[in-house]
Order: sequence, then C-alpha cells, then structure tokens
Amino acid sequence: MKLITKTTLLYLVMMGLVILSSGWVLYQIANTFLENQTRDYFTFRENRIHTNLSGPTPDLNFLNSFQSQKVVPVSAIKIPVQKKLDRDTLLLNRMSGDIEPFRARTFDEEIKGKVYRITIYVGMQQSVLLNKFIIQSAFYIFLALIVVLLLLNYLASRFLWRPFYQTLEQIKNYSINQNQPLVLPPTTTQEFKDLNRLFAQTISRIEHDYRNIKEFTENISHEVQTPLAVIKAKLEMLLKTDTLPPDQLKALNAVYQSTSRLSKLSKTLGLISKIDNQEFTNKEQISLKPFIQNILYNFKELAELKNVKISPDLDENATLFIDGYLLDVLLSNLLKNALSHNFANGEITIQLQPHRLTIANTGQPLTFREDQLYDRFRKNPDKPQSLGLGLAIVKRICDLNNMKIKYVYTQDRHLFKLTF
Amino acid sequence: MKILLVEDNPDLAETVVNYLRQEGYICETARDYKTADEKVEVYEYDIIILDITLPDGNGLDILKKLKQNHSEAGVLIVSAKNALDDKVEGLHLGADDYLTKPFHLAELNARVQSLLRRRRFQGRDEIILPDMRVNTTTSQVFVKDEEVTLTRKEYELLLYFISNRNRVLNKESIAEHLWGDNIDMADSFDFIYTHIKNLRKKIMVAGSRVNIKSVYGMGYKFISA
Repeated sequence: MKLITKTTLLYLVMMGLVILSSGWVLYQIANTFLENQTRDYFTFRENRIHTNLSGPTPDLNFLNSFQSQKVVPVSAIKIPVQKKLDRDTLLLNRMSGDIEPFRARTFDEEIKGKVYRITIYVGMQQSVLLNKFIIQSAFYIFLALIVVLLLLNYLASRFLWRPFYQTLEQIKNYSINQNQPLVLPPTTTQEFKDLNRLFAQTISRIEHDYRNIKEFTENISHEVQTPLAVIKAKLEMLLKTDTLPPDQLKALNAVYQSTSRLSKLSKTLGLISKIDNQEFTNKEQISLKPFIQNILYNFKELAELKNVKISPDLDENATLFIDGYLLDVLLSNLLKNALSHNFANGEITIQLQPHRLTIANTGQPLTFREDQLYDRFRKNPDKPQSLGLGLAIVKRICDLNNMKIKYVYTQDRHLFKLTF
Repeated sequence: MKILLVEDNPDLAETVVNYLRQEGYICETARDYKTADEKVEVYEYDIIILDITLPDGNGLDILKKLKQNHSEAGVLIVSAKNALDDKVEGLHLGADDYLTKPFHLAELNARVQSLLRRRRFQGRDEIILPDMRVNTTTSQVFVKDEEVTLTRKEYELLLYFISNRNRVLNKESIAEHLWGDNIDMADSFDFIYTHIKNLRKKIMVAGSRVNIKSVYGMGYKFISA
C-alpha cells in the first residue's frame, strides 16, 4: 500500500472519529437546549391552563378547542392520582396533515376542589429535524472531506511526492555496470534532498569500489600474462637446448605446463568477470542452426578421434537474442563438456527446438552432488587438468541472458536442457 | 628478412629476439611507442610484431600510421588482453594476425612464417623440403611429386611441424595450435598421438625420408632429413 494511501486512510479514520464525536457533542448540546425549551414550554402551558381553570370562569370548551391540549374533569376522585407522565407519540398534525412526533404530558391537578386530568401535547418535529440535520451535515462534511483528501492525495503525489518517485525510478533503472551516472531529480523538500544526497553518496562509493575491483580483476588477468609470457618463452628456449639432462628437461616441462595452466586460469577468470560485468553487449538475433552447425564442424574431428557419434536434430526457426561471442563460448563449453566427459565410442545427441536446446551425452555419472555442478573449480577427479570453470561460465551466461539451464542424468546420459 | 619487435618488457623482447635471430631473421626491437614510431618511419620491415599495450601509447596507432603510409610490412599483433574488441579492431585496421600472451615461441614462429609466405611469395607459395612439397594456397602436400591426402588437422599439424622443423615441439603447443581452447589437455594428448601416428604413416607410405620422432616426456620432433 502506498504511503499516501495509508496517510489518507488514517486521515479518513481520524476525521470520521472527530466528525462523529463533534456531531455527538453538537447533538447533545442542541438536545439539552431543546429539552429545556420543551420543559419551559410545558411549564408555560401548564400555567396558562392553571390560570384559566383557577379563574372566575373556567372555560373547558375553550381549553379543549386546542388540539394540543385536553382537559378532562375527573369527578370520581378527590385527590390527584396521575403524577406527571411524559411520553413520546406520533400524532396527526392537522395544520401540516403529516404524522409528526409529539410529546404528551399527562397529569392530574386539583383546582378549587376539582380534579382535572390534563394532557398537553408539544410538537417535537424540530428536534427530530435537528437530529436529522446534524447527522446529515456530519455525513456531508465527511463526504466533502473524502473528496478533498483524495484530491490532496492526487496533488500531493503529483507534486509533493514526485521527486521521491523520480528518485525511485532512477534507482530502479540504475545499473552499476552501465557506466551511466545516476541523475537524481532536484527537489526543494528537505527529506528528499537528504534522501537523494544519501543515495548519491552511497552509489558513488559503491561505484568507486566497483571500479576498483573491476580494474583489479582485469589488471590481474592481463598484467599477469606478460610475466607468464616471459617465463614461457625462457622455458621454451631452455627446452630447445639439447644439453640438459632428461630429468631436468622433464622438470622444466612440468613448469612449462603449469605456466600454461596459470595463464589459462587467469584468462578464464578474466572472461568470467567480463561476463559478470556484462561487457558483452553486441546482442543480435542469431539463427541457431547455422551457428551450431559451425561449432559442430569445429568439433567434428575431435569427436571422430574419440569415435563419438554426434547426432544433431536442428530446427531451422530457432533464434536467440544474444552476443555472438558469448553464444560461442556457451555452446563450445557445453559441447566440449559433452565430448570430454564421454565414453570412447559414445554418443552425443543435440536437439534444437524453437525455444529449447537439449544436449545429451553418454558418460559416467557425476562424482559430486548435482547442485555443485555449476560451482567454480568443481571437476571430475579423473580429469585434474581441466580447469573446472566451463559450466560456471555456462551458468553465468544463461543467468545474464534470461535462459534457463537444467541438468539431469538419465539412462547413463548427461542431459543439459536450455530453455530460452 | 627484417623483423621489428615492438615490446616493452625487456625480458620477453630479449628472448623473442634471440629466438627469431636463431631462426635466421634480422631482428630489431623497440621498447616504447616513440622508438617504434621512429623506426617505422625510417626503415622498411617485412614483419612488425606489435604489442599494443605500450607504456607511452597504443600500438594500434602505429598500425594506423603504417596503413596510412601504405606500408608493405606484415603486422602481427601481440596483446596481453584477451579482449575481443582489440582483436576485432586490430584486424579491422589491417593487422594480418593476432596472438595473445603468453604464446608459444613455436606458435609465434609458425605465424611469422605463414605471414612471410603470404607477403613475399605472392604466388610462389610452396614450401620445399628435400622430398616433400607443400602448397600453402591449395593446401596440397606432395611427396616425390605424388599427392598425399591429409585431413584438415593433419595438414595443419604438418605445417606446424615444418615451420618448426628439427626442434622439439611440446604437446601443449601442438594442442593449442590445433584446437585453441576447445579441448581439455588430457584428451588432446591422445588425439595428438593419433594424428601423428596417421600423419607419419601417410608420409612413410608415400616414401618420404621425413620423420616425426617422439621425444619421451617432451613432445615431438620433425626431422626433415
């Protein structure tokens, strides 16, 4: 729920409470006032009837000619029985012709030895109207408040909160490896100013660290190559001389091989960090069939040497939007894997469908847990020469290009399924 | 044949120069951009081996200048960066070949020779050994004027051996030459063995005295009588 919606709701609840309670207070005050008036009015009417009855010529006919009062002499009793009793009732108002609320007061009064039962009716219509008026106005005020709050909400999110949403949008679209500076919208609101300043500071610090690490990784991965080139070249010169005894030659050869391995390792790690940094951005729509055929051509001879049968079944229409170099790395790694972890006289089947590529090869089951398959430096103990980075690269490329890779081992076959 | 080596690392430069001199080339070095620029202006070279990351400039600028002056020199770029962009840009600017550090000297040698063949022989692109002839344009191999049919990799292997004849080639450099990164080393050694066995047989059957000797624990040596 948006903050502004929350505050609006809170406002509405609070305003509702305020309006209800003020309505209630208003009602109480008005009611008390009206009750007092009614009481005074009853007293006034009582006095008037009393004056008339205690006068020299009490005129019952006159008194009863008003619809709002009834004076009945009660001859059966000598003393008043009926105490003052007020009750609310509905009566027809002859003047308006409507049924209206009235308050009736009935009591006995003894005047000059005669007991009269007197009933006085007082119209209560105005107090009902007042009630209605208060409730109605409270309702309308509440309605108006909702409209005003919604309007405020809209205006606030339009104007007040705009810098905040713009900042959010900017940060959402910000990517550290896109080399685009973060431009936060200018604002006059102190809180947003603080927020923007904080974001800008944090991000510039992160960018700085990121650049440092990136530079470090890249530097390491190529700066190390020149010294390695020196070692390698010197070793090669040494190996060329025929004067060294065989065991020394062998030692030198081992050094030579380790040097090659080190160089390959740092190149591959460099490649991974480049993939991670998303430096391969020449994305294009690539038709997969010719691409795979080309890679298969490169692997044909290797497969023949191991007598591995490659059976491709490639759909014409499969395409993929990806950097060509990365696709080459991805597929070459998968095929290299399928070939090198295969039996002699084994098989590789490649099935390409419009949104799926399956590469299956015969081979020994994994010697480690399946979920460690894409870990760096995870390798088959039978192949200590391999770097164990191939599938880590494959996984990174898949992750960064919206592809899913799934591995299963069934019927003595390793099966990699790419969906895109 | 004159080669200019542009390389800022003195150790590497020294080793490469020694190696190339042993191969019979006249070889000069330039340690930085300024020297390289001057030398290229003043002298004519057949081949320039160009490291593109120099302390005081970018090797690619030298390449640009060479191309502006319509230089005949073949350019082999050497870079520590495995960056695809550098490679594409280099080749686009007119470099003839690209090699990443660290390289095998044998590989460098093979590339230089291939470059020279392309530059100098212009039509006469045959390598002639006592009883063997290799036409590098048509990729045909003749032993005593009889054509020997080789597979693609066998041909590449033979050419690599010929470029580095009478010298031990280690298996790694052979594997890298043939397959680049597309293979695990362990597998490749078996494959090399198979290739060499087949190649040896084909040449022997054709009656050549050329031989590929295996040197225990080291690699193979091509002996052209």
